[in-house]
Order: sequence, then C-alpha cells, then structure tokens
Amino acid sequence: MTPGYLRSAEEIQIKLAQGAKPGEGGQLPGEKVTSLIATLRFTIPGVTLISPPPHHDIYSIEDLAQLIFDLKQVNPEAIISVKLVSSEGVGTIAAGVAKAYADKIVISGGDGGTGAAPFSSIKYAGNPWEFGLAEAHNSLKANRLRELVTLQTDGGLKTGRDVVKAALLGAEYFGFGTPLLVILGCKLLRVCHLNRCTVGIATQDDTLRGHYIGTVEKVVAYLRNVAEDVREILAELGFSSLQEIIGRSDLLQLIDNPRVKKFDFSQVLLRVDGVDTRQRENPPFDDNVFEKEVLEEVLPVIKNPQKEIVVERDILNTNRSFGTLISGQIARYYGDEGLPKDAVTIKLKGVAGQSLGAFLSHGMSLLLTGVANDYTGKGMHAGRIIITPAIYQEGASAVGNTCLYGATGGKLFVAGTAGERFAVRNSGALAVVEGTGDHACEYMTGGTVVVLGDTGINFGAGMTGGVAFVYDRSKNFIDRLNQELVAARRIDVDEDNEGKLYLKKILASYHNRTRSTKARRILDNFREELAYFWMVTPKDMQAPLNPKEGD
Amino acid sequence: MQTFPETQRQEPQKNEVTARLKNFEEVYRFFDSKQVRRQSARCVQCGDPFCTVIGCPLQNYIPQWLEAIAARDLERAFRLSNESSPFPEILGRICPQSHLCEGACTLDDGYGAITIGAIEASVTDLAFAAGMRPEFPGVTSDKRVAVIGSGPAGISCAHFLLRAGIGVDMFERADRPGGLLTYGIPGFKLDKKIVDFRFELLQEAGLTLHLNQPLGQELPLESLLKDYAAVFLGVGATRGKCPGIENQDHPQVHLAMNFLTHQQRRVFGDDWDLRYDVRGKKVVVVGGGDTAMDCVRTAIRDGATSVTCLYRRDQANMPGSRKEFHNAVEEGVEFCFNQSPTRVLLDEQGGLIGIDMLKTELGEPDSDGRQRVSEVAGTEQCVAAEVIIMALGFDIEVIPGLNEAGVDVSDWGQILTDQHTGRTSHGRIFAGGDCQRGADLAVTAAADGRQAALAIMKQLLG
Ligand SMILES: Cc1cc2nc3c(=O)[nH]c(=O)nc-3n(C[C@H](O)[C@H](O)[C@H](O)COP(=O)(O)OP(=O)(O)OC[C@H]3O[C@@H](n4cnc5c(N)ncnc54)[C@H](O)[C@@H]3O)c2cc1C
Ligand code: SF4
Repeated sequence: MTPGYLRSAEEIQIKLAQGAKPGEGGQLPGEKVTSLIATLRFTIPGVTLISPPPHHDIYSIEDLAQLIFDLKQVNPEAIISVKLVSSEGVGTIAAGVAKAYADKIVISGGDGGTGAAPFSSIKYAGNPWEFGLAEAHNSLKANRLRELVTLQTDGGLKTGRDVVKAALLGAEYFGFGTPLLVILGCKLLRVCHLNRCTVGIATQDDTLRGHYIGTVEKVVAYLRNVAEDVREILAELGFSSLQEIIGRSDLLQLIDNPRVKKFDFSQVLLRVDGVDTRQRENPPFDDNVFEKEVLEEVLPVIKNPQKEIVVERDILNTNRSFGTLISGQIARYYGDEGLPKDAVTIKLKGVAGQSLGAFLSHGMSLLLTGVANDYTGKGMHAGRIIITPAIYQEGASAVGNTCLYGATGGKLFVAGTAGERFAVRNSGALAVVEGTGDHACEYMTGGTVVVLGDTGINFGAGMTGGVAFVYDRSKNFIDRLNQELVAARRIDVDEDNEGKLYLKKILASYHNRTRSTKARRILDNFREELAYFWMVTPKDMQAPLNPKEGD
Repeated sequence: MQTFPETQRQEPQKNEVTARLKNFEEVYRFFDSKQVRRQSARCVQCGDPFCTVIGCPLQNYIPQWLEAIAARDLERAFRLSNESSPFPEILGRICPQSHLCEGACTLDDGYGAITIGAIEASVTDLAFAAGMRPEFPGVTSDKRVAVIGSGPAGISCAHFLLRAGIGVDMFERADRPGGLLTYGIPGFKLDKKIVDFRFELLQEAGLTLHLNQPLGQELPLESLLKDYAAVFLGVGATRGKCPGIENQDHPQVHLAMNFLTHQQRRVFGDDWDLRYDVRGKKVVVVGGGDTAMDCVRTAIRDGATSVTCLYRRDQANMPGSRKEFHNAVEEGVEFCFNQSPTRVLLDEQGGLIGIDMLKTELGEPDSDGRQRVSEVAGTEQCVAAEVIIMALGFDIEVIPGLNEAGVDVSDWGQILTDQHTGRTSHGRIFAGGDCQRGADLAVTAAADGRQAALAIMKQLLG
C-alpha cells in the first residue's frame, strides 16, 4: 500500500479473512509475477508472493482501531470497511469493529469462489453468510451500533432472490464475485493457479489475455437483470424499495421440508428491536487537531512545491499517526511522487504516539528527538524518519512493535532497538536499528535492513527478497535465523567489495544523522568489525545491491 | 499438461489424395507414442471437464486418460479408456468429434480443441500393438442373454455383460458381424480388421456368435424369451428413405445402404451385385449427411468419372462431421448446395441420363431450430447422371414378433424404452441403438448398449 494508492480509493477494505478460505492468505505463484505485477507489488519478477494469513499489525480490536485511524488520516474521504467471515461469534467481533470506527462491515460466506486456496479449504472451510449476517446484524442492534455502520454480505450471491434474502437478514450492500467472472467469460476450469486461464482472466500471459471476451456492458446487463429480479420479488412482497425490507427477518419463513426440521433457525430469524440501517457517521474519538494544525502550516508548501519548510513541535504519545494526514494531502495532489526531497521537515521532541510516519510520502522528513511507539513507519513509502533518544544508551529501546510493517520505500534510522516484528513485509525501505525482537524481516520482499545488535528468534521467515545485515557480536544469530528461505553469509573483507561498501555507506549516513556511538565505533574499526556481520539474502534470488541508497 | 499456448492442435496425418483414391484403406495415420503425448499434454485438465460431461455420450474419462498418456503411462490410459467404452479405437475413428467431445472442449473456442478422437484411437492401437488386452472374467453366471444384431449397440451390450461374467449369444442376420461398422461405414474410415479384432476378443471372452440368423420365423422372439434370461434388441434402422420423385424406381437409382453394402462385399472379395458397379460412370448422390459423404467417397474410389453431391441446404447446415466433408472435397467431389431433386430423367430407351432439380431457399427456423427449406419456382436445372444414389436417412424396419411379445413401438416404429435402463414395456426385453432412437450414431448406440447391459446385470445378478 502506498499513500497514492490509498488516497485514490473511494473505499478501503481491511480484509481480516475471506469467507471461502478463513484463516488463509492468497498465494501468487512466482510464474505469475511478471514485471508489471512485480512493480505493482514492489517486488522482483518471478518471486512467489505469499499473502500471510495474519495481519501482523492487528492482534486486537485496539490494533484494528489504530489501522482504521491511520487509513482515515491518509484518506479522510474514503469509506473504511472491514471484511469478516461468517461464523459463530462474528456478532461480538462486528460490535468491536464498529467500536473501532469502521464505516462498513462485510460478512463473507463460505460459498464464494477463490482461485488461490488449497482444496481442503475450498471444499470444507467456511460457513453460509446467512448465519453470520443475522448474528452480526442483531448483535450490532442490541449494542446500539447498527446505526453507525453499513452491513454488506457476499459469498456466492447470484440472483435477485439471494439479494432479497440478504436484505431481509440485515444487509444494505451485496457483493458479487464469481458470477461476474462468469459473465466476463470464466468457465470455472479451476486452473486459476496455473497461469493457464484459457479465457484470459486469471493470467498475465498476453496470448491468453487475447482470448478475453469480457466487457463492462455484460456486467451491467447482468446486474440489471439481478435488480429486475429484486424488483419483481419486492412487488410480490408488496414493497416498493429494497430499503424498506432491510432487517425484516420476520418476513422470512422456513420451508416445509423434513431436512429443515432438523435445525433450529430461531437465532437466524430473530428480530431484535432497533434501527436496521446506518444512520450517521462513525468518526474516531480523536479528531487529530494536533496534526491538522501542522497541516495548516505546511499547506503552502504542498501548494507550491518549490518551497521548503521546517516545523518544530513537542509531541505526546496521544498524538497518533503523525505525518499521515500530511502525507495523504501530498498524495492527493502528487500521488506517490510526492514532494521534492526535504520539502517538509518536521522536528519533533518527546514521545510520539503509535504509527509515527505511517504511509509517509516523498519529501517528508520526521526528525524525532525522543522515542516512538508501535507501528513507526508502517507502510511508509518515501521520505525519512530519524529517531534519536534524548539520552542515548546502547541497547535501549527506542521504537515499539511492528515498525516498518509493509513499508514500500523511504528510510528509517533509529538510534536504539525496535520491538517485535520489525520490517515485516518490507518491500523497499532502508532501515537501521540497533536491535530487534522476534520475527524481524518476516515475509520481506525487498529493501535493506541493518541491525546493529541482537535480534529475536525467527529472523527472515518467509523472506523472498531484499537483504539484511546483522551485527552479531554475541555469535548467536544463526540460531535465531529461520533458514527455510534465506541464507546468511559473511562479508569477505577483500572480495565482497559491493556488500562492504554498501554497508559502510549506510552506516556513515546513519551515524551522520543519529550520532550513534555504536555506529561510530563500528565505522572506526570497520575492517575488523565487518567480520561480525552476517549478510542475509533469499536463497533463490540474489538482489542487486543499490549503493546509492546509502546517501 | 496445459501446454496449449505453446503446442498447436495437430490432426493426424492423411495419406496423399492420389494414393487414397486407389484403394479403400484408412485415410488417417494415427499418432505414434511421441505425438500422442504431445497432443495430450495440451489438455487444460478443467475442473468440470465439458468433454466428458456434455460432449461424449459415453462420458469417457477423457482428461484422465489424456493425463495418463501424457505421463507415458500407456497401460493406465488404455485401461481408463476401455473402462467406459466398449471399443474406443473404433469410436475414436468414426465419431463426429466436432459435434461431441471436441466440440465441447474448452479449447475449441480459439485455441483448437484437443485431438480427442485421434488420441483415443491411438491409445488403444498402441496398447494392442504392445500386447495389452481388456480383461474379462470368463463366463461365471448361469444366466445367459440373447443379443439380436451385431452393430455397435449389440457389441456394447455384449461387452459389458461379458465383463460381468454373463454369457451372451448374439444373433445376426448378415453373413458378417458388425452391423453398420462392417457394411455401412466404409473401410477408408474404419479398417474392417479393427472390427474383426473386437469380435475375436469378445469370442475369447465367451461370446457365441450366430451369423445368418435373422430374428423371425426360424428364430422367434418367444422362444428366445424361453431360453434366455433377457433379450437385447439392437437391430438398427437401415430402411433407406426415398424422395418420392418421378422414376425413382429405375434400376440405376440405388439406396445408399445397398450401394455401400455391395461395395463392401466387393472389397471383401465376397460375391456382389454388378448393378452397383459405378466404374466409368457419372454418379449423383442426393443428401448431405455422413452417409452421403461415405457414398460419394466410395463412388470416387470405385472409379466413377464424376461424382456430384446434391444437398437441399447450404454447407453450414450439413449435419455430418466437418472433417468428412473436407475429405470429400479434397478427393474431388463436386457439391451443389441449395438444390432439391424433382425428377429422375430418362432417355427414350429408358436409360438414366440425369436428375432435375430446383433451387431452394432457407427460411425461418422450425421447432427443432433448423431452418425450413422451400423450393424456388422457375429455377429448374439438370445434372447429368448415369447412377443416382439416395442418401436421405433411414427408417426403422418392422421387427417381427414385437407386437405379440407386448413391446410398444412409436408411430415411426421406434421401440419405446425406459430412459434410464433401456427396458421396453416387456420386463425382460431391452433395446437400444438406431432401432430405438432412429438413425443416429455409433457412440450413442454404444451408450445404449452399455446402459441396457448395466440394467440387465442388476436384474439378473442383483
Ligand atoms: C453409411 C453410414 C455411415 C455412418 N457413419 C457413421 C460415422 O461415421 N460415425 C457414427 O458414429 N455413426 C455413423 N453412422 C451411424 C451408425 O453406423 C449407426 O448409428 C450405428 O451403427 C447404429 O448401431 P446399431 O447397433 O443400433 O445398428 P446397426 O449398426 O445398424 O446394427 C444392426 C444390426 O442388426 C442386424 N439386424 C437387423 N435386423 C435383424 C434381425 N431381424 N435379426 C437379426 N439381426 C438383425 C443388422 O444386420 C445389423 O447388423 C453411419 C451410418 C451409415 C449408414
Ligand atoms: S467416444 Fe466419441 S465422443 Fe466419446 S470421447 Fe471418443 S470420440 Fe469423443
């Protein structure tokens, strides 16, 4: 995700899970990762892309609330929706999501299609959307939250009848997937994963794409027919608009069939008192006045990119997602290109709140004297974040967990250690820290990470791109490296010129910015200290190092 | 698998036209093991294989045997292919695949369908050559079944009964077995040795074949019902239709079946009626289906000076296999489309000199979706002819003893059966193939025979 991409959206969906394969992520086989796809996904052609099942930045409803807050800063106009899977207990989760200030909740059922899941999931996982939708709708009503969010459902909807049933159970929006693909030519050949889709849909191959027969008109015609179908059913029921029947589960009746008698449908058909549709906005409690003021100040520079500005502020840990609102404004006008280098410099003092510099745009520099919290540099795209504790102490913590998560570029220098899950899914950022917790560089697909100290366990799990340098004085790094996809090797003082120079350049730049004494020491004895570094790269790919990044 | 973007559809090679016309040998040279692998590997391996599900009347396990042969496992491919089909090497040759399996193949729109028919024929050819044989348990049941007619329906029924260990007596009116496989479909489409070999296999498996034994006075249905646990009727539909035009009874106006049968007898070296000799004559064939294609191509091989085919509709509306039409064109047959015959022309001595015809127009589609044909007045034309062959479809002959046995037939003489079992209104008489459907295809006859065999098995063995 980049600021430009997020800013261009009308709706942003956080897909916590997918109905057809709950608990699993998608996989894009390396063969399908062409250079176009690689650019879009910030990776290198031919490398398999694994979408990890968990969201590494969401371990609780509070984490989700934070992500929603981040997204509402970068794009205040977008609807933020959260996709949940139909299952028992989804009502409680839905209530939590509404409290986390989402605008829309999607209940996804198990009958939907998926091209990228193991057979076991396609066949045996997932529940019908009806159960989850009814539970979510009722639980939102019971908690007086229904009026704050819209409800959508999907998972194998095909006909007007499906739409009407979903509306009766509380849905205001209806997602169509597989039938639209079929309208566009899909013949359900079930070869999506092989890059051999004969109708040119699930493939990047130009010849196969030549066989694509889909048109917008076909989709429109299909959906018109569905709507016509809906109108007919509504007329039969004696209503004139879909709006009137949303949540009217009392209009549903069980059919007379012996198999129906085996089940208790009372929970699905239950009708709780209260409003059945969204009535008002769901703004976060925190209106972010702090950054809005700063934005006012830098707006002239955004409007006239020839200018430069330096702003100074004291920051508190209640000031969350600092830099994101401004980045979103920059992206609004300039997309991912952002502003010229050093256009906006913000000098901060104190303890920054969560998500400092999330989705940071080009031209932004955040220089913090102090420490920061979780998610520092989350999704950062460009610019730089420099963190120097007021009192430097070797090995002391300076940023929280899940920093640099999903970053696509830019630079993060921290004169201190980071928490767990550092640089997970990094695809382009350059970072220097003085130690990390567990799972650093997991699923990394690009970029460079330098760790001048101990790491936690499971370093580099699922890492398919990029490079990491780890300074291992205590000689325990190898035990902490997850060697499934990556290998660590020493940098040869005489032969590995490229790696050696690259690292040295990064360290010089890092020291220049942070004045870290540890970096100074290493630089002073570079020839000897180099022997303590490991260079970690994916086994099946040698990323070309880009020494320019050291600047 | 899935090599279709790289590998093109490749039809089996054909013999040169000039060489082809000198004899009745098969036109196609099927695949060797390398070609068959290459062609099979193109298969998409779709989740719901249309070829099997909506294409092949036998629901053959096509993607599975394609995968097996692509993986160099000839034995598995052979066994899978012979599991559902009683004679894949024959159907692979003669099915109109463009309307069946290959027409249903996903790749048929734009990439070129898998060459299913040719691969199917090649797999069993290669397996036979390598000494593989289908397995039969020998006759293990004390119940026996009588099969009347030795065409595809009869062979298929016998094949599946024998696989279940039920002994079969097959009664055939003709002097050679095979029905239309032997006396209808010419040798250049299906080598008769292939048909003979299937009978050898069935006889080894326990089939008793009674040739020159028509159902009728000598062999009444009642007595068969006494001697056998069940009777299967696969007597076909071979009574040729005539257009009902002036002079159509002239001795040089032939019905397609008679012409083809006698030509085949000549090829076999059996005695035949010289009336059907067309050497050095101008021949006109009336009709546009597969039978017509077989007649024109037979006539041209027999040495006719010219062969012209008259068809009422246009080329796009020809009901038969596209590839056979192209073969006929290659072999030098002239086609006159949109022409309807009106009169057979004779000279003063009563000798045949030609056929009159009228131009036709295609109108609105009828209830079957085929366009109606109407003649355009004042467009008479004449084509010279010394022999005329009528290939206009077939009716069902009256089958002796059916009524008495209590077997219901339709107004057209089709035997009426239960859709899922092939059982007639008589509980121990089953029927299938052309005598039940009206003239259709070998593969549908085979499917009927199999269905009846399964129902008979269930009835006899429980
Ligand atoms: C010229 C021609 C070409 C064809 N080409 C093709 C083709 O390329 N592909 C394709 O799929 N289909 C083709 N067909 C159609 C196909 O041959 C038939 O649909 C198929 O043979 C029908 O099988 P059957 O077993 O029902 O009948 P038949 O094959 O007609 O067999 C019936 C048998 O019963 C015997 N019989 C009849 N009456 C009696 C009786 N009273 N007592 C004992 N025996 C009796 C007959 O002698 C005959 O041997 C063609 C047909 C013709 C005429
Ligand atoms: S039997 Fe005929 S339709 Fe079936 S697979 Fe073979 S060639 Fe195709």
